[in-house]
Amino acid sequence: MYCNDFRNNLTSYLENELSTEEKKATLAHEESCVECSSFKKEYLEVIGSLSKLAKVRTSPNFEKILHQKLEDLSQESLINKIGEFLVPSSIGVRTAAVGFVALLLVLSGSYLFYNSSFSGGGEGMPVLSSPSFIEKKVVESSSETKAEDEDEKSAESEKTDEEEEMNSAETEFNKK
Amino acid sequence: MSEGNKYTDEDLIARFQNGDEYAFDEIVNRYKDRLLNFVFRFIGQIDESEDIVQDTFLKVYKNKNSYENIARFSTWIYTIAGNLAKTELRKRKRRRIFSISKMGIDDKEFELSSTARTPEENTESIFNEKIIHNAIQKLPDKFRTVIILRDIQELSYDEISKIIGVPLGTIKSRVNRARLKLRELLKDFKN
Repeated sequence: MYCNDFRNNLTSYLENELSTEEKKATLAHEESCVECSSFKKEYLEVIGSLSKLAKVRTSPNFEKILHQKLEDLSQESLINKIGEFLVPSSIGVRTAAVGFVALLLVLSGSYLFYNSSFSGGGEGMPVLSSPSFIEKKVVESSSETKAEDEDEKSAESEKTDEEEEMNSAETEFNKK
Repeated sequence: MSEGNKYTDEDLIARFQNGDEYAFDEIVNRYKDRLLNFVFRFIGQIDESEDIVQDTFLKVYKNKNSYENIARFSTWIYTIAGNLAKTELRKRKRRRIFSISKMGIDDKEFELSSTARTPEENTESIFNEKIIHNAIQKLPDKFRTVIILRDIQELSYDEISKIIGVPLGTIKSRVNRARLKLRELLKDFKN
């Protein structure tokens, strides 16, 4: 057996995995080779040192921190689920969500309309949707229109009077 | 938790999958220090190692139903921890802040389990601890993983093979080569 073979077989030799013949050859080489004997000793020291390495421990608040992270995780998961509901990914569900929101808007608008029409509004505050208010406005606007017409008529009649005065003034001038 | 001790790891994960949160607490209790030792020896930094172990348990919690009772539970959890540790190392290498001199032992104090030692042994053992820890960090990733799992965590070759996803013969060969490499490094450090 060569030194290379001895060193490569060491793990199997120590784990008792070599055949009887291989084991004998390895042992014979160890006894005859000072370097390999020393090598085996160092090899065993390495394994021994590793197994004796001090074990580290987690910090005292390790579990507390972990539970906090788990709580954050469950809250995040809940927020994600709500988000998925509000902004769903599939087109069909999205359409349904938009329709649902639209329906809500229509319903709330109707509710406000009917609600205010029966309430009559507050003091000094015209309720826009009140039929009485609308009627009043119609009446007011028609009376305003009449007033405007009358103003126009009076303006026209004043104009006619002025023209007559001017004509008479011209006539008198011409006479002179 | 004396009652928890009567359950195997596989029993505990099954109970947790069925909604028993106390089973998860027991899993944390059993594995937190073991995983910390594994991750710490792998990446060399104690604070980051704790974060990685925390993340490991979060993944177990979130993905509890991913575990199937085909492999051992320990294989599953070590695989998760190992993958997270490797990811952290890759990130470090990309950031180029990884330094051989930046070891974990001189950093923030961490708790060691008590062992009966004389003051001389304590001094010598701490000195050796540093050298060994530094030497482990110098090993290539694939050697470091197997030597930690075999010679520090004392897992079987079969389990290591399942954790890493490499044939049994390859694991034995790697362990041997890792020990030979470590021996050389320790000689260099001593010299």
